[in-house]
Amino acid sequence: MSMSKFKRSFINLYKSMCLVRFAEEELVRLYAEQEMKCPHHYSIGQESVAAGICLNLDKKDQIYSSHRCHGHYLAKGGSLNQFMAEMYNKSSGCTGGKGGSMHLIDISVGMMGSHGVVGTNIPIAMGSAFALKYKNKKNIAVVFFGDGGADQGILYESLNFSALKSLPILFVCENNGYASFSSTKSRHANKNISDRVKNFGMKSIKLNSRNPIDFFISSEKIINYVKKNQKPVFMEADVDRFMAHCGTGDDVGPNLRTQTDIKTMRLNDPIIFLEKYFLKNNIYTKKNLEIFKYSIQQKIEKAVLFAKRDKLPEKKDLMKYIFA
Amino acid sequence: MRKLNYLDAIREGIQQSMQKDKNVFVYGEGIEIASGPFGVPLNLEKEFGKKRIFDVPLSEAAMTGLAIGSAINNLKPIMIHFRLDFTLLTFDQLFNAAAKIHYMFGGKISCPLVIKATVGQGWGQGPNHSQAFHSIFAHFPGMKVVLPSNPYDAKGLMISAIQDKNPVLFLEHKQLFSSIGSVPKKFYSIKIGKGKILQLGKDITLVGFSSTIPLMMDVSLKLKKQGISCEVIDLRSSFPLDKSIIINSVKKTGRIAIFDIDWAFAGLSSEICAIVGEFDYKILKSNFVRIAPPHVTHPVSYSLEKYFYPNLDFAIKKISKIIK
Repeated sequence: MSMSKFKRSFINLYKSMCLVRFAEEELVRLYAEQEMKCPHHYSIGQESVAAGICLNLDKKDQIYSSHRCHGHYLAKGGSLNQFMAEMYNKSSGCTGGKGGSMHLIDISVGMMGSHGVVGTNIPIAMGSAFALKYKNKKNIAVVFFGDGGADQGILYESLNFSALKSLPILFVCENNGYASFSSTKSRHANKNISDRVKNFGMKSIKLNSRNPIDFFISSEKIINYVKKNQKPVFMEADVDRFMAHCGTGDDVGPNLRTQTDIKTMRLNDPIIFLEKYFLKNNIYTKKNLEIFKYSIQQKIEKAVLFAKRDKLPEKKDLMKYIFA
Repeated sequence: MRKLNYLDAIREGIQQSMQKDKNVFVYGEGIEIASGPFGVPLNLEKEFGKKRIFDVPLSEAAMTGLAIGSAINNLKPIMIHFRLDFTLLTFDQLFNAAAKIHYMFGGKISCPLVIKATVGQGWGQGPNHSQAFHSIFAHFPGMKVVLPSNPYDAKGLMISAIQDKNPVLFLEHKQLFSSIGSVPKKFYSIKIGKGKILQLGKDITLVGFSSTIPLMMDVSLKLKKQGISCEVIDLRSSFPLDKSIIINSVKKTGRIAIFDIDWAFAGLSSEICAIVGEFDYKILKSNFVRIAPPHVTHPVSYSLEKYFYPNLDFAIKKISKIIK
């Protein structure tokens, strides 16, 4: 990678991660107003994955996400206005107020929808990969799910079929150690998820997302491999979820997580990692970073304003779109 | 006109659809076996190749996701189950995703897929190989269900199901496989959701579909000898349900007997009673009658089956109570 491309890639990575982080932090801040009447599942702390993968995809590559989908939608380039409007249950939202926070979609950028039941999205993404291959397209499908998704039998059905048919799909398992409130300790016999997959007839790797640069570089290689070879790959990414499974808390409590857990996670914040990297290597100054961040904040504020002013769906919209 | 049996009519519907549209493909367990059992479209693989007709693993849930992801990408998948009972493994995919996708994503994507499955009633098929789910499938908004009773409808409804922009369950009945009827060679479709009056009458309306039609015709013949004139209606689909054909007939006859292959309790037959009752109970001259299996699991032994599946004597006895 040339220095300029290197630099360009990493500033895009930083901007994408900041967009996800700041958008969700804004949601957290505004949630107390109780104008956004829908459950939120934040991915704060996990941004390396959404950004690292999506920046290495083309617009026509298709992604599918789960209930924790804000980051994937935004990193793939989904409309920020439509995102915020959806959060506010408004008619200009990406689903017009039908799907809410767990059902984001923007097909213009290849964000093909997120699903609210853990694992449902996995074979659907596989179907997309099948369709892309059927039509001789060079694009791939990517599916994001958590370690909870790795508990579902349908994942293993999908791994087998994807390997059997040599489908261009990347399975991305973001392992944050918890399926809602159940830790992997109480759920997994073999805690190494990527290890389990190795016998399915596909490449399976484990990455640490706390270093977003390494994660980005590895993702680029893997995505190129899937595209070039038209073969599936499984990726397990270790991530930290700073926030609660659902809502604006942090899930600190008896038999759950401790304050120390959260503190450790925040010490390994991938965005701070990136900032330190830029400063240490004299790639950007503090002032540069402030400017980047300010411009992202401005965009988010504008989108919130747009969403707040937008109109709500009406009675006539209730029965719309049952059938195509 | 040319005669075909029920299975060949379905096969021809699939074959002509595949000839007309290269996006139509078909898959199911054991489908590549040339002598394929039960309703499998024989020998199509020779004409269309393994890309468009292929065998799959026994992963019903993931294979349903394969159809959904393909359908989102404008392919037209036909997934085949030997037994309708196996679709219970696929309910998350069908009802958390396929049926809802158009609605929950605000009309941005749609899901034009066909699930073809056999109701295997009779010959000791028993608890897991005999069930009929047209009521359950009709319960979820976004799903269509067709249940042809004869070769002509079978071909036309298969073509319509493939052309439909929504998920459609095509439910074929094992007892109808060898039934023979006139089937045009041409490519034709039948509007989904329209029932058909098979016989005009004035004293009582008999409504049913699929394999209840031969029984209804026998009942009609027997009652005719007693001077009772039956109007016989084939509903052809459980969703959309042709409400007006039912109401218009009962307005005329004042009596209705509903025939079902599924349990009466909380089933389609209950819904039909509700439709008539909610329209205007005063059009009724007598109570409703439902000719349906008792609320118990499908038994295997033929000595029990004969009490489980309604027969002519059972039907006449029940109907005689409301009409002399």
